[in-house]
Amino acid sequence: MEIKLFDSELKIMEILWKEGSVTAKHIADVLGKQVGWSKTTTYTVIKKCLDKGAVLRIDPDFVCRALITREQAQQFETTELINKMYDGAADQLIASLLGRKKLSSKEIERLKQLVNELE
Amino acid sequence: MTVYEMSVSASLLILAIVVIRALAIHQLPKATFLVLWGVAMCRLLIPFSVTSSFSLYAALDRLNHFRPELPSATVTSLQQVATLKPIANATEQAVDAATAAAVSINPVWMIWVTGVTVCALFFLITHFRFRRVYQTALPIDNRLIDEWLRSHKIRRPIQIRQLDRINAPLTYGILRPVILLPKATDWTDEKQLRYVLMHEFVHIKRFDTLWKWLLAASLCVHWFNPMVWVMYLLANRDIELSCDETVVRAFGAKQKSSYALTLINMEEKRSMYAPFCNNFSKNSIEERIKAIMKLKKISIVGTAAALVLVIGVSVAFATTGPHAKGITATATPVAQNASENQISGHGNLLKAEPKKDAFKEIDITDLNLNIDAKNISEAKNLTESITGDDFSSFVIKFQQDMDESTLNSQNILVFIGKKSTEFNYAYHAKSRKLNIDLKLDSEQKSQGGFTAAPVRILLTKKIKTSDGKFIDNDYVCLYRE
Repeated sequence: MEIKLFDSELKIMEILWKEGSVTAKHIADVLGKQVGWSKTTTYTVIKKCLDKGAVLRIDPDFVCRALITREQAQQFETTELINKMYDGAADQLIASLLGRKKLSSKEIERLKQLVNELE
Repeated sequence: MTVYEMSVSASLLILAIVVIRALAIHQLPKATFLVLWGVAMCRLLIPFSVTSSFSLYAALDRLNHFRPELPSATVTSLQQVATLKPIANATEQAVDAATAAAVSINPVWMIWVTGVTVCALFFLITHFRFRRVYQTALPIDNRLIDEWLRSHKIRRPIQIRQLDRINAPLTYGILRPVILLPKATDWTDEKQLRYVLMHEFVHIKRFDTLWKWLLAASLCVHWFNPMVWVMYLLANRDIELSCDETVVRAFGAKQKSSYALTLINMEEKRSMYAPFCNNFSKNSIEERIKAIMKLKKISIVGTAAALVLVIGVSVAFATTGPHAKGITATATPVAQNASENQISGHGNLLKAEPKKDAFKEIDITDLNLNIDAKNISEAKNLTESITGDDFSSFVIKFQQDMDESTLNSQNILVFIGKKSTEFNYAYHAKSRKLNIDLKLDSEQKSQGGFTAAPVRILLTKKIKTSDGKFIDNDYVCLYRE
């Protein structure tokens, strides 16, 4: 499934991925504290998620359930990144990650392992 | 004053500012233009006029005295009369219908209101659409930002947030301003971050968002006036230029090139009306960079020049001539005379006007007459319903050709009760009609308007017919209760 989510929408998804299905009211409470959104703002963003098909609304109580998993969202973002920045070639992304100085040797070791596994 | 009058008088002022701006934008402090735009906006939005004998309009008035043409004010009058004419010609059997129609359809008014509504809706809808997105911005966890916020406190609470859907920093909100930074901001570039935040901070401190709203309001009300569009565009740019100027002065002139480079990086599109600004952002960014690089130290000469310009331009273009006051001074005794004469009752009705006629014409067959024209009172319903209870129009028809140069504001006097009032007038030589339009100001309205006192139109004996005869009597008095 290809759904492009903005940061604001990912905030909603984050809660659903972490806590499972919760009411919209609960999301509004959490985000009100966490990022300072008003109720209206939160509901606007939830509605966007509903429209995009990332969230399912279950009544009564406006319970929200995630329709996509964290992995799906990550995959989509990664694919987009690869297409946009690396000409669709995943190995170039890996090369770029490996070339980064900030990665610790432990991380690099894990990544190399991952590449080996996938090959 | 009508919107049209305000628009016309502000147009000259805007033109003057545009010319000064073109000639001296790099020489004067940018705040000069902001003040001038402010004066223009007052002219556009506040329906009162300040009188001054140094006004350009006073000068025009004096010029007109030596010419047979009527003063510039009559342009408005002619326009208004033109819109009223069809009503005047309505046939009598359709009088009621015509009266009703006059209430609901004044085409010019309808078009204006439609335009205002469309413009206002455009601004509001765009604003709220963007605002809804802006409100979904997320907090920033950054040491530098926190420090900056602590050291830049004002009475209003400032928030700094990040948003993944903008490409350039912007500020929204007037009472609780929020600075939005793009998610892709380089958080490690402290210098650039400080420039950006300072720029937005200056906008916040100066209530620039409020000014932009007022500019948009002026544009909505005066949408028909291309000069106001020009003002909207240039004033929005000048807000940025002046903000840049302040930032550069705060950081010191040495940093102006690195600030300019930051601007190029950001190409800030901070307005909340993105569809408007993008079209011009290329030009304006060039203008901004040039303005920054050409920034000089504020000199005493520059400040003095700016001060003189602001005062000079405001007085010359934003005030009206004092002729209205002149009338008050000379005419009050005549008014008392007039009412005495009416009481003595030798007034004559020249023509029995049909009842409920849509618009009255009063024939002056014999200029020797003192007319007690109570018959105009029927016109009250109509005139009041056209533009509310503060507007009334009269048409006086002469039976002889008149000497136009004697039909001037010295010789035509209009009173509401015993007080003289401002009015517009126009004489149409072809039809021998003199149109007189009154508009009440808020003070007159609060005193009861047309219902509280009779309206008198006095034609003094200095008025001549085209073959040189003076009106014999002291005045011709048209009277409406």
